[in-house]
Amino acid sequence: MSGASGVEPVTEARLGPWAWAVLGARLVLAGVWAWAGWAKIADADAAVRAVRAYDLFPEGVVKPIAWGLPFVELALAVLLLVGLACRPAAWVSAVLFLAFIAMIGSAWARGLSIDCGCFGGGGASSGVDAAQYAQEIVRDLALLALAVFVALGPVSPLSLDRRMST
Amino acid sequence: MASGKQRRGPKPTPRASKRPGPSAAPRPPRGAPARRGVAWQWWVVIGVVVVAIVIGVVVQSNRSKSENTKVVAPKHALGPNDSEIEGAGSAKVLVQEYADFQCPSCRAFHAEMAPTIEALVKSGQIRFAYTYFPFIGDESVQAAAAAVCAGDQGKFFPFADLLYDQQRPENSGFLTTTRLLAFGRQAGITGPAYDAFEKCVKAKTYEGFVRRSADQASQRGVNQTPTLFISGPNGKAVQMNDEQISSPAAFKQAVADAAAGKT
Repeated sequence: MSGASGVEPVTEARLGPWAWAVLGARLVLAGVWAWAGWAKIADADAAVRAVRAYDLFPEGVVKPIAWGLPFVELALAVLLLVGLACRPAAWVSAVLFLAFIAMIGSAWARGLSIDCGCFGGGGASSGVDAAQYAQEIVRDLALLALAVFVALGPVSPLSLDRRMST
Repeated sequence: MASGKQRRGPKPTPRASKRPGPSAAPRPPRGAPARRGVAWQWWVVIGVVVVAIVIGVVVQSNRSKSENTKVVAPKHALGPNDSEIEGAGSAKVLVQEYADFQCPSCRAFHAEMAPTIEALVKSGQIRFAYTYFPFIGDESVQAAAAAVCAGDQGKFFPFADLLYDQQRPENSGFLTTTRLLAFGRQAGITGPAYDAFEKCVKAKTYEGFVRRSADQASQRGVNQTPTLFISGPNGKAVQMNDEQISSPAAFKQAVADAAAGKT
């Protein structure tokens, strides 16, 4: 209500450490999404092969996923960076991480040897071992935890959500 | 201005003291967030996601090279799945390899198996087919496209041998047009044939063809290189990789199994 930008720092200073931790988590997630999205956009054909390699989706949805997902990732990066609609954006992030974990786990369980295509690249590889899959799943679990933290945590500083609610 | 009257007055003071520890338990997110008053935020996210998907599909379908590069059919005869083929039509077994000229495992596989493959081809036991799966980068695509040009002059296999023998690290800038042309000469393309080869390589005539081949390979479920499909007289193909066929003996065994219809 006060509207004056000069008041903001005082208010932010009164925020507890958890609010600042949420800000940190937001920035990490935004960075990861931006990187992942950007890397997947570079080679549109590789993205299609990467999605197809999981052998989980009917051919009709392979291209919408391969071409839509990176832009969704970039959009989430922007939302989390500027702090607009953080909680829903974090929930959507969490759902995506769960989906990625399920996809990688399923590829692993079926004995496929594919490049996850997480940060670009195209499905094909010359051999992926179990350690690689395990590492990818652990990474995604960590990101999932961060996303849930942002989704359930307090409104964080330096966010449009906060500006709009004060 | 409108700042004060947000539709549902998002709670004046967030109950921030409520200690939201990192409850990292991956709870399945249900539709609504924990707190009230953020319905509009969900609409923002849903809208942004939908718009992002639409933009992505439009932008990337225009950028996709396999969708937008003209496919020219090679002038020479091809084997199954647009492959380069050698061996007698009477051979009982077809060995089809999907590979990328830049792939180190493919080079290793080629170096180890080439004598065996050659012997089996010569003795009329197998037909060998090389199918283009250029996925590592643009140099893979250009090398493959040039190999099709060499195939037009009847020199695919010597050209492929050179690409493997001279292989450098992936996407290192080694496979330039000049280098590919030199390989053509080394492979024995001369005279008017060389002129045609040169024109073909420089025009990237078969870029669309090999890109389509890579796309079809991925549709067939090829997701690592080298991948082999070995089929016997019953036509049933077994998919194998270079770990399953790790030695010339294993290769011969797989061929014998296919010939006997045991696969």
